[in-house]
Amino acid sequence: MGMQPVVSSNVAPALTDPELIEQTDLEREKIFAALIDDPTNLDFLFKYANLSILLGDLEAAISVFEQMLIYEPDLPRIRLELGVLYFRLNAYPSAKLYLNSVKKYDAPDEVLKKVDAFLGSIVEAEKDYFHQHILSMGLTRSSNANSGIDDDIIEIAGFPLTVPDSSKPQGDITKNFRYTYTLKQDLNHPMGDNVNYVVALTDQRLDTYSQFDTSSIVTSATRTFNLEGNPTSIFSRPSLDASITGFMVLLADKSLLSSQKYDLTFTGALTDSLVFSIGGFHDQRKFLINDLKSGYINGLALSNSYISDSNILTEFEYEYSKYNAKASYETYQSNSFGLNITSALGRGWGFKASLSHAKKSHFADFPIFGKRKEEINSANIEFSKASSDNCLFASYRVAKNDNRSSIEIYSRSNLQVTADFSYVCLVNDSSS
Amino acid sequence: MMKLLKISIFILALLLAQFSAAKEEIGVASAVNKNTTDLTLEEERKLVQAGYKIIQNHTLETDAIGRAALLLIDGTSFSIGPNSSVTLDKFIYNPETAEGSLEVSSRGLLRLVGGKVTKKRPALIRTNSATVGIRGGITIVQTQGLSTSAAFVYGDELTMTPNQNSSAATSLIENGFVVTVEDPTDEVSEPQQLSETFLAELQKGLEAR
Repeated sequence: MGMQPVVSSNVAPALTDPELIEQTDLEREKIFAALIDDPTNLDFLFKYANLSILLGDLEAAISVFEQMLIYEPDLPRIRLELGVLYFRLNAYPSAKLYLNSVKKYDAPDEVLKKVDAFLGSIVEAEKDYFHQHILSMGLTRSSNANSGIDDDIIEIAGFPLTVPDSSKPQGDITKNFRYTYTLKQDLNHPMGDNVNYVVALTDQRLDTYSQFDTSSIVTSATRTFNLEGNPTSIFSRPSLDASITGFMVLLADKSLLSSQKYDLTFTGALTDSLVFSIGGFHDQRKFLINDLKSGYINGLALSNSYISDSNILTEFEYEYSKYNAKASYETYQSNSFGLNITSALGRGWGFKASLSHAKKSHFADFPIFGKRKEEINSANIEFSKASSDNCLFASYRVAKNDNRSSIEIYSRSNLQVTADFSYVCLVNDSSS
Repeated sequence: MMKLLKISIFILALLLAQFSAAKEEIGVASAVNKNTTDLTLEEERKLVQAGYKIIQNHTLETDAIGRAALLLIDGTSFSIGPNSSVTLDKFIYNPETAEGSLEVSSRGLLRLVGGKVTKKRPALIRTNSATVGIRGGITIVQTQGLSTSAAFVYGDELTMTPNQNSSAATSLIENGFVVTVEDPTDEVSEPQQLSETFLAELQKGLEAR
């Protein structure tokens, strides 16, 4: 039988061993029963508070310490304890109240230093803008870096053609660079609304096939509206995300494609562990080297995510989209499905596995080639490891992509092995 | 005649069941600093001291200098300020599943620190002008005349519904805000940031002087 999680935790328990958590919970239940019989017994009160803190139930510890102030308000160490507990709950007005009250007493220097450190952290946490820079670099080994055709002979308009060796898949190594800047704006809204701005730059340079070097610039702004819950609704914690995203892709340092995308997504929790979202998008695309491919996409996306008691996140995604291009043969509809499983493995290691399948059907015949239909399958396995200070992340990824097309020159597959390293601790805050 | 007897026995059994449920101990007065009384269902007034067992539907009242704390068997705790009262209207708690519900009526100054039952279902605090719902958290509710203020100290969600204007219900998800209803027919005020000064004023009533 699986162990029950501690239902009253507000923060992650300080203990990590499930058996120890269960033992501590049982011990706390015994102390609580004793406390109900003898509620002013200081030994019981401190034991109950300490065990509650170990289990992450900070509210229980708060109630014990606040109860003590009903008899005696001049308890600076209890006030400090309350300030720290409220700080850990991100309940900053109460944290500040208790921490500042410690200063009214003749507290030892080390206590006052601790108070100032927490008050300083609250000033940082209450700032309206949070900036983060992430730098990543790595290497990818691709089995098909030149987008080669994996056949000796292909058929075009009924005629067999021999594929020259130079057009067959060739391996290569890509150097990857990525920079992401995120600005999070806290709107100080009673519903917790915020805005996220992101700018991401990527650059991928191949050792041999430099004609396939790609760079991209992505900018996006997302406003989250947390909605009021409705008792008759099946959703709790409903929210609406409105976002606008622009990106540009360069191929061999020449502009290839630009896009402006507008998304509106509703998200709501069906249970504490099951979250559902549905959204629509409109994406305006411009192909700078072939305007006939330019057009717009309208789409609908659904996703479900489930987090198990053992903290394994499973996500299922579905997307329908229709691309309306200037050239009718470039117009298509697409259905895609995705499944992601993410889990922490302990000792800073993480694991993610993804599978996806997409079907694309074009509406009109391509000149010479005829009707184009495609199936794109991909599988991805990733292991990541965080450094002890959580600033440096290493990720090791194997990805297999397989594109089957009714027009053989578009069929290709590629196996990629990637090692990436990211530094995430370039963080600074600016005051409101 | 037999039928009448059976009905009488059934009614008597129901009454006894209700009486025993009403007498059930649901917690304890965990701290009492001076004058707090318990108004029983029989309209008796008893002086409350620490360790006094709390019975459902009883009303605990403090006088002008009284302060008290109550601890319920699910871990929920209440702090009651001076000239205040709280009636534990409904408390259901299943220790096996840690589920249940909690509804109280209050006047004056009350702080609620949620226990197990409020994690899933909001605790409801009824005043003469509004009902405050708090899920998974801590709130301080103060009534002055017909006005009710609720400070969202910590938690998942706080809702405030004017008693005679349910369409004006307002929810808060971000803690650190205060909402007020001036009278039962009124709208809920725009949420205001919970200042340290306002919190200190409330806190004064919940600590020994």
